[in-house]
Amino acid sequence: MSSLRMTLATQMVLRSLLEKPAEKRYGLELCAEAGLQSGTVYPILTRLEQAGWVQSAWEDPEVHQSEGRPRRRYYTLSEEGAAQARQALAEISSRQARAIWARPRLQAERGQA
Amino acid sequence: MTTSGSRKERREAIRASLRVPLAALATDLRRVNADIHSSYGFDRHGRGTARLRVRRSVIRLKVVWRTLLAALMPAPAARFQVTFRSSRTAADRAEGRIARPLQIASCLLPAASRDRWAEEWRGELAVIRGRWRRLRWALSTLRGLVCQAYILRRSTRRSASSDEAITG
Repeated sequence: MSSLRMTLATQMVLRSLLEKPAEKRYGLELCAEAGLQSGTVYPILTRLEQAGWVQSAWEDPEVHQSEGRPRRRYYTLSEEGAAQARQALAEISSRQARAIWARPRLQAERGQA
Repeated sequence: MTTSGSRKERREAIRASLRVPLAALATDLRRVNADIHSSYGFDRHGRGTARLRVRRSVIRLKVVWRTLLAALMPAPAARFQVTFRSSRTAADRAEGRIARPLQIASCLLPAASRDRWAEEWRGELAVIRGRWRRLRWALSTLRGLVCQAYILRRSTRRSASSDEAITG
């Protein structure tokens, strides 16, 4: 597992994946859920897959053949990936919370100085 | 695309729908013709009645003509012999014009993952409804493709260099 750069878009994708971690989702669905464009989501999915946070698999052939369309690639969070994603998001949110609390104190210190 | 069987069926349906209005049109034409001919022989006082009769026939003729036109032209496609596709299938959408640039641009990706991504994008294109939506999606994907190619190639390079280091 490698450390990932947690950009805002990555966080959004991870949050949408974490909403239903066991559920399989395809790229377009993730784009809609995260509210991001495909050009942002696919590179993120690629990075997540390389880091081992996300697993992907092709759709069941019977389903796409019966619907008469090309097969889809479904993405799911791996167990380790889900744990790491939760941890990373929690770290970010605690850091943000700290930053919010620290701001008035810093401003007060600056004001005294 | 429409098949020859469906075209034949459509032609038969048009023929069947034309039979009644054509017969009515022929009868009315005969009537109008008779009215016009009879009006020539009328004297000054009888001309008004003859004109009225002709006008009525013309109105009837117009109705028949409209019915005939409606039967003749059920859709612009039938009129101009063009086969419009009212609803494109998923396979059409996946193999359409918008899919081609993506197919070409996938050459930027490493050869190992090229087919996989191209197929995945085709699968997504098949689901998106609306030409503009598909185009917007394709443009966005193309924009992200450069970044994706960089990520994939970097990892390929890394794995290759680690293999070299292991083998010595």
